[in-house]
Amino acid sequence: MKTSEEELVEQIKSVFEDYDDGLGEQGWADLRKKYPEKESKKLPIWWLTGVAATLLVVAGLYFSNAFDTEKVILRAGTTPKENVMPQNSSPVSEEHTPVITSDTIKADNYTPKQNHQDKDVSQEKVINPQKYLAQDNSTKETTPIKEINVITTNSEIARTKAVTAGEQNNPLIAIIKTDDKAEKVIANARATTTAPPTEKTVKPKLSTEEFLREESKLMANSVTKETKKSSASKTTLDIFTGTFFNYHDDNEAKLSAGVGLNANVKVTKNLVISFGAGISQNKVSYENKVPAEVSQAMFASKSNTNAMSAPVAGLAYSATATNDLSFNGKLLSIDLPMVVKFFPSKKQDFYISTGINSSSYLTQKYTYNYSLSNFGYRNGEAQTQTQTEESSLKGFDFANSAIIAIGINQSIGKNVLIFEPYYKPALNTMGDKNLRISSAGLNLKFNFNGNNKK
Amino acid sequence: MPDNESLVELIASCKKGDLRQQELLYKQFYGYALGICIRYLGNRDDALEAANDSFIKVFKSINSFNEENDFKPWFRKVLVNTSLDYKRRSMRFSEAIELTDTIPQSTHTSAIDKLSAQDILALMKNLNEMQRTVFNLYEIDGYSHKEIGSMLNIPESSSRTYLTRAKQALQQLLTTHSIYKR
Repeated sequence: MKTSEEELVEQIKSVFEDYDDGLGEQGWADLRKKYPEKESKKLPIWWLTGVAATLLVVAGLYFSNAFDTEKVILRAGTTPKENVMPQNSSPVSEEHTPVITSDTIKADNYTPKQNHQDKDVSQEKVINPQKYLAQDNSTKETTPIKEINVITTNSEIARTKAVTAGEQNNPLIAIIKTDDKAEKVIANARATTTAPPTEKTVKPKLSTEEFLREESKLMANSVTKETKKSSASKTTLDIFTGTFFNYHDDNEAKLSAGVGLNANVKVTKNLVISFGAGISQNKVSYENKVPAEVSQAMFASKSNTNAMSAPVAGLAYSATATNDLSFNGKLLSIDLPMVVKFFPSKKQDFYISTGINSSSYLTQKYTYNYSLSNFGYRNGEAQTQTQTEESSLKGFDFANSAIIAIGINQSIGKNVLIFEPYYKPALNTMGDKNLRISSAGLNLKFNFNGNNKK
Repeated sequence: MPDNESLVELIASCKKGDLRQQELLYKQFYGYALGICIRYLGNRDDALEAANDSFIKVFKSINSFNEENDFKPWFRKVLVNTSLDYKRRSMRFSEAIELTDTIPQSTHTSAIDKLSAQDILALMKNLNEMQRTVFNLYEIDGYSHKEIGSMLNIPESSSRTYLTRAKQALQQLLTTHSIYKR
């Protein structure tokens, strides 16, 4: 006969073997709130690094393009008029190869009288007779110097005008006289790769002189515009090193350091947007007063780790009391600051900046010491336990701190040395263990060419 | 409960991440999971949370499960460990630690084989946390004292002691409240 105890055990097994309260549907709905997990806000480190690198590359390209544009403009602006209408041996392969004409311009619907009727004699000398000698790659070997007739059509004029507006490589088709037989050659070899515009632009006919005058105007305009543009879009780079203190309530301030690179994009005369990337170390330590969210995070991760395993030794159990002894956290992070700098004075010798900082983590290390009193063991004698967690390349916290800073510029030749005291109050937590770390410190920045740009 | 063959198919579908199949698995094992968790946690809300956490762990790690093995014992381990973790966590922060033997409260007087889940839970509430857990682990879920010692971070001998005390308390409750009297 079964004892009451055995009977009870069987009854418990039987009752709870399939304890269906009929709320499985609701239970599933509850589970779906947590599963599958939504895309984590913590982006993978490679993604983040990619973003930082892209930003820097874009800034770099922008920077270098500004200089390239200036060079082109300089060349265009200083091109002497003679080069536009070269004398006899002007190379055909040059970018700005002018229209080379024979003594008679044979354009469709073109009447020299109409076009030159208003010109004085001196102008006629420059333009007409338009007899130039040209060399062409295709003719170099046999007849290095040839006399060519340029067919100046409406479309040609339009195309040539387009050169002044930036398309510099459109082909000019010339007729070369060779043994009284005309053949078309592409005057500009480079231009052959560029598809010429097919549509005919309906524009009033222009004489060569008018065309040149217009071209000069357009060129002058484009120089002004480009110069304005290049002066408006100034980008500089900073490298910086910072020394700062991390702190939190009840946390002894820790001295840390960081290095990084910033790009500064001038938006208006007094406003600069600065963004970049840096590496810094953040440390916190607590004695006895470990914040609840931190110890909770330590316990949560511990339980997650162990939950899947079969009985694991060393677990604290419910009938135990734990006391926090200490907590140490070390985070090596990639900081992505984005700030707006305002230069209040005309001299622009100092600025006030504000913005946000986001962080990702190269490494995280947490050490948690706590005492554990198990009332079923040694009459509750406290045992010290240490829990250490480490991770690498994990996590991304967007806008986890604000940035408030003042920069004081000190010119060194073309460059600028900037002393930047700053304060970064925590807006959000950092890392896996919900650390709210604020910091204050001093950045020492070296700004390349900043003295010229700002 | 699905038969073994359909369970294998169901698990294979779950391995592919099919949410519908996971829902099916959930509903088929919902009662089983809740029954285990409620024994350890004592109330439905906590039990449901622990059960759901267990299901999530299972869905996430089901690829590591070999279909040749029996699913239920594996799932049971997950449920028990999750319940203990849940209990540990809540105890850590609520600090509501029961250590002393409680005075048995009245339960419904009925025959043991007529005891409902609520009756049993009420009965078990008369045991302290440690006694109840050891009783569940040893008597119902079949863990050895050595395993219990490891799981609860207590010596094996303490596990035996807790079990003995739990049994004594239950016997006393059954006798005092004439549960066994038909």
